Amino acid sequence: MPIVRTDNLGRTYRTGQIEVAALCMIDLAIEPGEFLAIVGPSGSGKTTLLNMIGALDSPSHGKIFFEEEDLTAARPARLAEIRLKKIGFVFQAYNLIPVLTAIENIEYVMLLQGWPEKKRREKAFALLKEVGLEGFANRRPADMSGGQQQRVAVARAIASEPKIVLADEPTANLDSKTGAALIDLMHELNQKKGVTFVFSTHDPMVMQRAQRLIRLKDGMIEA
Amino acid sequence: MSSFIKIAWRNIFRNWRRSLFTIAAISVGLAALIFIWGFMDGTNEQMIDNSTSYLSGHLQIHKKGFHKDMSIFFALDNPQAVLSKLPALKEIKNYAQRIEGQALFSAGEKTAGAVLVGVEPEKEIKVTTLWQAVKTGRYLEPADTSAIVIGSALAERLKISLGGEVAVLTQAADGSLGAAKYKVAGIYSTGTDTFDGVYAFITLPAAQDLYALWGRSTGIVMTAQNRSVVPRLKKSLAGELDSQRFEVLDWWALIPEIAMSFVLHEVSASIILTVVFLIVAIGILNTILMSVVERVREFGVMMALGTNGRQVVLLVILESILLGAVGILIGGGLGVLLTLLTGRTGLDFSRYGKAMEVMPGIGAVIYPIVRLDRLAFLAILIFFFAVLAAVYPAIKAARLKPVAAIRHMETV
Repeated sequence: MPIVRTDNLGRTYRTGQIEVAALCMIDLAIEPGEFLAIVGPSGSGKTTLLNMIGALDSPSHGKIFFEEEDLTAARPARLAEIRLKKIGFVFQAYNLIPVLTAIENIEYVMLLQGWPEKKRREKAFALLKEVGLEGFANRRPADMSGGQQQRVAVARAIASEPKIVLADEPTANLDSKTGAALIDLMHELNQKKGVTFVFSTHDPMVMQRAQRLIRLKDGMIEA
Repeated sequence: MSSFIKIAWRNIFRNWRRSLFTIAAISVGLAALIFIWGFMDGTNEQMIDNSTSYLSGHLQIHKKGFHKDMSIFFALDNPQAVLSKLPALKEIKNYAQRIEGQALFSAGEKTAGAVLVGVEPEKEIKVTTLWQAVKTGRYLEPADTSAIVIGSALAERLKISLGGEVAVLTQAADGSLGAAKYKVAGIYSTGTDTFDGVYAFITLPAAQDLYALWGRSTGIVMTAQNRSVVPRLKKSLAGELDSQRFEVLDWWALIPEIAMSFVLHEVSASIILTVVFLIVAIGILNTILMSVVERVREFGVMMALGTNGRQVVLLVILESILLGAVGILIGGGLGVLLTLLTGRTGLDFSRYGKAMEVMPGIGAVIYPIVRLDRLAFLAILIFFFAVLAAVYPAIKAARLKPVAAIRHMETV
């Protein structure tokens, strides 16, 4: 059973009187354990597709299924629950919660899930170690570099042991060395823990590492 | 819930600058409201206390019709019968008999109409405080038979000073013309010319002689244990006395100009406080609204991570509750401190002396007071407003799609 399946998915944005089709007739299936990249030029609809898959946005038409549950029919509270329990996010702009420290950012999702304090703290420290940021537990996002913040974001994304991690151009704001190290880290997590990763990217280095590529152009999947 | 309280505290502490603005808006606003209301209450209290304590007391008993005409022919026939009922009433603090009548005063070539009041000095000083306003000479003593205490404005009109002689001419109760000469033993000054120019005081026996009211008086004046029991006491007295023969009047009826001023002050206070509250409320609303709006992206991230809308609203409300509580504590403390401090030192308006004179009973120095009921009302009002001010933007933020909030495509 695929983790995610879309059926004629489309998303249209309205700017004043003009309607712009960001996504059109998207049919795809993502299987468990995949290390998949959605690629295409800027404006091709990569981020829009990831937002749909991640239940952050709703389609204008078509359907999207998460483990065969129809997300287009789900209420906002159910979507929040799916995001909390089954999906991890890594954003292009890191999007850590600014008032929380690195360790607290990683703990946040576990806190929402109701993990006991001791257990979530231990797990957050272990993840911080895994992403190579042992000494940064009490740093707040503003006191960390972009690469460090993105590592914390990865640790946060996998903290709740989601079914799938969605990463929107995770290396876009990083230098090539830091970007490569981050992809290595995510690949390792994919291999060792079987976490499904879906990236949006136009970074050739990331494309090279992907198991499968989905190419988007003008909001449609290229044949 | 406790996790969200922790996160709310962290948000408050780690965004200390934003929190400081919100707390400042709440606390300064509350302190200002407490002080303004305290000032107005102090003005009213002073006006009522001065007016009741100088002459009227809290309640008076007369023969029915006396208050309307203030005629000597409405004197109590048997004041002892009334006096005998008073010790049983626990709400009464002190009481004294009086004779009040209008008279013509003359000294040398100057004449003036005024009210001559005969008092029992040893009892009167427990009922009223006019004796404390004697600035020159002394107040009356029980044995005085030809001593008079007059107000500074009346002394001025009669061009008379301490030790001078005043002739008084009046209508006596037996139809004769009452006339007597008194020596000025003391001159009082309350600071209110309309009072100081109207009343002169002699002892009750001297007044009984002058008005031919031996063994009688025109009224009994009393103070209650405190002003709040006056309505109850009035009811008790009315129950004890025959309403066909006696009238029981509270300070509200005795000095209607003060009652009107009180009502006017309360209305003015309501208008001023409403305007100030609106200014404060807009300040608080603006601060809280901005603090929520600038965090829409943060809420979007939280929602993307699985925080649901209700939890976002809960977090914002918790933060507002905590900020509100801190603001209320600081603002309440500041407001009370400022009011108590100025209540002790007084606010001197003597440079506006002429303007103050038009307000009866109010001296040149105002002493603001703290009333717990006002304090509680304002604290609860501001607290609920601060919390409510956060609810609307929080609900708007929570209703955004996470992607819209993260991009901050929409504003709340």
